[in-house]
Amino acid sequence: MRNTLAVYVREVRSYFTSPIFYILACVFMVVVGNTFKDSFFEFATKTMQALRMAQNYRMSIPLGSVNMVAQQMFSYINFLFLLIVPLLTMRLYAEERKNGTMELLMTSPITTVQVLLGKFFSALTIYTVMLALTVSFNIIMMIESGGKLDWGPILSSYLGSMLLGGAIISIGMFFSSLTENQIVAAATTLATIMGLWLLIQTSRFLDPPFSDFVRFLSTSEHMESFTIGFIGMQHVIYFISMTVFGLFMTGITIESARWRQ
Amino acid sequence: MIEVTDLTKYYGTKLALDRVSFSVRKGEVLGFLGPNGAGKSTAMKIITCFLSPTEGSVKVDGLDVVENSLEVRKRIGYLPENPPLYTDMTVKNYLEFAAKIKGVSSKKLRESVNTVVEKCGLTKYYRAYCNSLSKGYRQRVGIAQAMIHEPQVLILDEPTIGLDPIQIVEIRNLIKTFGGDHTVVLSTHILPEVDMTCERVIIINDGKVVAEDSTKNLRARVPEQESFMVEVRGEVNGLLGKVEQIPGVRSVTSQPAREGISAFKVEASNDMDVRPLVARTVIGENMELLQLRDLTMTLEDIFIKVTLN
Repeated sequence: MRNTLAVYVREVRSYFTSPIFYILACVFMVVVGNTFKDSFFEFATKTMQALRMAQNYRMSIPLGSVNMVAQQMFSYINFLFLLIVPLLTMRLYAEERKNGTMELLMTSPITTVQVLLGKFFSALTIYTVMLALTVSFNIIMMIESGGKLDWGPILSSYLGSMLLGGAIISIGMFFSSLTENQIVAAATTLATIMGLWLLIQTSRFLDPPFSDFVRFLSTSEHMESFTIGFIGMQHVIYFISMTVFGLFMTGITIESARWRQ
Repeated sequence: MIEVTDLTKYYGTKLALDRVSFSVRKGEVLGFLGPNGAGKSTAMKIITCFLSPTEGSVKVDGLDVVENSLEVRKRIGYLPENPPLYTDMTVKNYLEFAAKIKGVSSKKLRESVNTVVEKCGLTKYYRAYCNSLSKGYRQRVGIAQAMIHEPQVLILDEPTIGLDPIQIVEIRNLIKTFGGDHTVVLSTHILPEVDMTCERVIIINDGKVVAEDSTKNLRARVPEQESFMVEVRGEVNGLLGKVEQIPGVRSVTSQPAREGISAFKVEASNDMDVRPLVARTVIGENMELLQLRDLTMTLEDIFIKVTLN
């Protein structure tokens, strides 16, 4: 526990001393903010039109919920993280290998799992900080809609994003453990998590049972229900098992380096 | 303290260590000597648990490096070939981190950091970032990191490489102070270093131990004969014959002359010192003796001789 904490603190500090985190967080907020603005105005205009129509023709027209805006925002957030996470995780092991600090970690009385968990949670912390910044948009929505925002789907969306984060961070860590080149680590991670995200597109061209299998593997398929406020156990299990699998593979890679090199 | 038995290591199909066996006593300073690529670093990486052996066993303080890896690592301080520094940390933060992952208790943390900082002469750079340090100071931080948890065994891989002459002397003196309390294994390909810091030497070449002895014995081992160079002014044609007749002299070979100075090499058995007799003969011939230089083998010669065979 103490060892894990030591690694965790070092990693988090390292994230905050490097400019990468600030740049990524800044770009992230600008992009999310911009899409939020667009969809919010669109929603506002549509609602106004609907209200005017209802007044003019004296009929009732169903109004959309302000949660539609949040739903749209989350699909952007999740997609953006697919681009950002490879840049966060690329350094985790590749940098240690390049600097030779891997020798310090591997010859100190600290287990591979302790190092692994310290690193994983440090990246997850950075991810959480970025995700937490988006709470501000929800607060704006709540105020502007006069408190008509339903927090349930929003909380479940955050839970979904966190689960997705764990899974893609562990994949990124695995690729970082394979190489000492950070660019290679980032590129392979990006290819893999994008592939998993877009895999669902190929299900259209396949017949069952293959199409079902492909849908099951795709991360975007499992994300969907969280954004509409539904927490399905099978989806939670999907993300957690993916995270554990990624961590497990990373551990194996690191341990086997003792024999391979 | 360290017991290496039939240690073999393959990198893929390439043989890096071939049934290497040796042992290191408690408190001893052992030098690991060998040309680049001989397998010095590999052996050290296995002792420190960074790599696993293909065959054979390594025991530190009676504990096997594979089975009791964590326990062994608690007892070992290791300075790899490149000091393992986190460039984005200050010396202080770095040493505190190293102390934590090496199991130094929070109570003793500050004290251990202060001790190594003082010992390694890092007080001035305590708050500096590791990437701003010169090579010599990086090396010192590397050594400080290795000894922060007061390990019984210190493994130093080429601790003086890339340092300037003054720093080399300082680091060597630092290493000398470790002997007695710590068991030290250091690798190098610089011979005088071994001569100055180590009590015992293992020469390793092509993955095999080719010689193992104390520096003194090793030096005494090779030359069964003494040889020295004599320089005189003028021609030496008549002199050589006379020197050859001195009892104990085995051979006299004339060396290329330069600007009126002649030189010849004398080889004699080492049970008697023939140098005074040679000097007397030269003066007896009314010639000026300019130099009489000992050609006893240095560790360098021994090294070349053992590694070439």
